[in-house]
Amino acid sequence: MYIHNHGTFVGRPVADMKYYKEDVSRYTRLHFRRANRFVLLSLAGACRCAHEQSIKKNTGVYLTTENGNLGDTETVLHQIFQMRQFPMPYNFINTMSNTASFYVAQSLELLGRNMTFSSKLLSFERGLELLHCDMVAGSVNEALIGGVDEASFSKTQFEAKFDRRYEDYNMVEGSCWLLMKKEAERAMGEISVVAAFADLGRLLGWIERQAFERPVFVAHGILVAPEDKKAIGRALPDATLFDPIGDIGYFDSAAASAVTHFLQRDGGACLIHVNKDTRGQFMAMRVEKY
Amino acid sequence: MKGSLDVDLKNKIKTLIVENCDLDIEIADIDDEAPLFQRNSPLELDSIDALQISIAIQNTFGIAIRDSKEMRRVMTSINSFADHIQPE
Repeated sequence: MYIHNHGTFVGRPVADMKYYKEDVSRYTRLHFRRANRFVLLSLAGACRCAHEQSIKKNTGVYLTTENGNLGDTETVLHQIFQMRQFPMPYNFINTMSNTASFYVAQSLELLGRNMTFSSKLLSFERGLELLHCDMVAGSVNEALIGGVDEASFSKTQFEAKFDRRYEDYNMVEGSCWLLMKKEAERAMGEISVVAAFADLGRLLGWIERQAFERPVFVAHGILVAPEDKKAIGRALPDATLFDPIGDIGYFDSAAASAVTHFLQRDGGACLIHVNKDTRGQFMAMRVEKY
Repeated sequence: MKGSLDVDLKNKIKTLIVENCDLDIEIADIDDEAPLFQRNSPLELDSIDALQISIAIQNTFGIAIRDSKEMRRVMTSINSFADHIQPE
């Protein structure tokens, strides 16, 4: 799968919705009156990725997310269970899982396969796996794939989920997209491997079999433990640490953020991104930047 | 006083519509008699907006519009809206 463009939007969690609307209006003339924060966030990244690109009508949209429309879901649950009211229709509609990917397709006038899904901290990697299968099967030749998530405000939830100190991270929200094509011509890079491993030993075995032609960088997901990082470092002794979570901030689609921020670097290079879910399963992506 | 004669009430309804439907218009520019939902309506509202407004009205004024025919009649204009909320 070849990378033809990338688009990144990282916002401050306290940023006003008006700011997001103004941002999106720079890329599309459509007025997204009913769009919520998650939809605008999705559009901000996807529109950047598609900007000034020649995109076919049948291009697919694969939106991956850990939490989806977090803000509106909370609002709707509050309206129903706390306030004992009917949910407001705009809020309710925006809790539908594919609303944001629908808006992306509508704004870019795309008619191809359109889906939204989530997979326990490995959503972006699983999305790439699915896209790869669809490309091999011939059902999709081009697609926009993005990782989108709002910021986590809950210290309690964050610390319970990750067993990490909330204060150690700069919380952001983001929308990071790739324009992927089956064809290699005029590509800026490639995702050559997306693979899952049941444990660290199998991951290290895979890493040791890799050969590199370009300078190598390594990035880790939030659940990769310090001892895992040390072992990965020993398997990749010449690799340079690439730390977008430390440099830019954390949101639950940080894997997508790592890839698009890596593609912003000058010169050819290779990124090995290692992620881990709460069950201890590892996933690795190998990204080549030409 | 009938709602259509109550300027404060009508401004409250206009503000409620503008805020809940995220409209980019000043309330002073909304005509009391102009149709709210027809194709030539300046607000360009549709059926989802009608639902949004009806729930906002229920939450704000405690008045439920349960019937679609009644909804169409009530939501004809700002004046009809105001008369429904405050008949006299």
